Amino acid sequence: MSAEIVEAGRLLEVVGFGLGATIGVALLFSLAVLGTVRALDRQRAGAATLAYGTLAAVCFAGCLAAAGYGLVLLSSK
Amino acid sequence: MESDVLLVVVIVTAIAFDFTNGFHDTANVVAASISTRALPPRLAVALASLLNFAGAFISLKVAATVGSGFVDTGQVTMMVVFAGLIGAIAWNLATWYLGLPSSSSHALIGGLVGSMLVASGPDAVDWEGLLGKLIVPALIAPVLAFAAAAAAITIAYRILGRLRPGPVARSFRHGQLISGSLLALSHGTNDAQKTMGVMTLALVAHGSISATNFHVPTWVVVTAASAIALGTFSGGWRIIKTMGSRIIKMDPAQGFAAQSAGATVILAASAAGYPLSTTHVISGGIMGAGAAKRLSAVRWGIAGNIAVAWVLTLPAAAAVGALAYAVARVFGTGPLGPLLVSLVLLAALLVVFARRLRATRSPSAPVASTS
Repeated sequence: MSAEIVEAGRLLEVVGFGLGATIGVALLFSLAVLGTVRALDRQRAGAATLAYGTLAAVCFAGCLAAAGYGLVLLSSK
Repeated sequence: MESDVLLVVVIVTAIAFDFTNGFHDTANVVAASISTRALPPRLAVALASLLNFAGAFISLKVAATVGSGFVDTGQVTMMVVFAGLIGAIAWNLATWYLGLPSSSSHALIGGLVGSMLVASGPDAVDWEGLLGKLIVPALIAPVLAFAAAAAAITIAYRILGRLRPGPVARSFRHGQLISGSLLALSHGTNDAQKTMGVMTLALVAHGSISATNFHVPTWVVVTAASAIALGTFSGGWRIIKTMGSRIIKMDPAQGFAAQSAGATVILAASAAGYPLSTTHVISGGIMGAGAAKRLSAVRWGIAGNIAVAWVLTLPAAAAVGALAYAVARVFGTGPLGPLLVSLVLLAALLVVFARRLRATRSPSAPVASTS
């Protein structure tokens, strides 16, 4: 199968972006959930929540930023 | 005058295809959100419809590929485009009737290739383009979505496995608002463009647009976006059931992983100009999210039926497209043939809907199996 027919470089870009972005978003969102749940648990127990709250906020913002960046990238093509 | 009437028939048929595309593919977009109860069904479908409309305006790269990447635009006639659309609509309706999530995109390209083969012979089909821009990406995409969703859910379970399941599930249901919205947007981006490409191809055949200056007019973008949004809003509930609960029973984290994988793969492919099957991608994502938890969680029998429908899509739509062209051509090159074929399809459509309605109303009547 000729590389010219298949455009291997472009396909590899799709594979890399698809895998990388999904794993990145899943990681960030899972950390955001971890931060949220732990912060709520600690709040109930009367302990400090700043660290977990910050983790949740930063990771959630990262998720939104990744989604926004993807859309901007797509519309600029 | 005759060619203007024929152009109107072709454009109306393209709009009908776009509507069935939205109707048929609603399930891909909303099934995960509905089955995990992240959104109530009506709201999920309405939101998907709105985002499908918006997504159609994001990019035009896929439209260019569909319009000029698979067949020799210089040899395309309006009759060829019409017959190709008939092949795709017929296949979409048949798989909707059976409750099988097959690919509208592959049906469209299959129909077009079939009618082109009968009209001008094998030299008019760009086989290399078909292989490199459709078949190879079509094989890679569901595997990629499967792997991405499996990796995503594994990470999520690793990080959150020891937490109380209630708050985690609630958080992922909220997350599905974002992942589901992105999926709907990506669906509009990739799928609406296919109809735009075909409508533009008809305009090239009509002589309204030069083959050497292939561009998609704004009114084509707006029309295709509206038709797919309306089709999505009408919803294909039978396929929603298959996608949402019959492949795997999903928890919200799996729904999030499947939707995120589907959205990123479709958006990446749209940016590269590949007319991907959103059905293939999201089914791959759902199976990946299920298999990573437990291989036996995936109902492989149902997955096998879906795979058979995928394999059959290109040749079946090509056969109907070829037949529609041959029948329409018997009545000359004017609009009479396409009008008659449209009437036959409309009559078949009414019979199918009447049978479906009767089967739904009568509990004793046999219902077509979705398995």
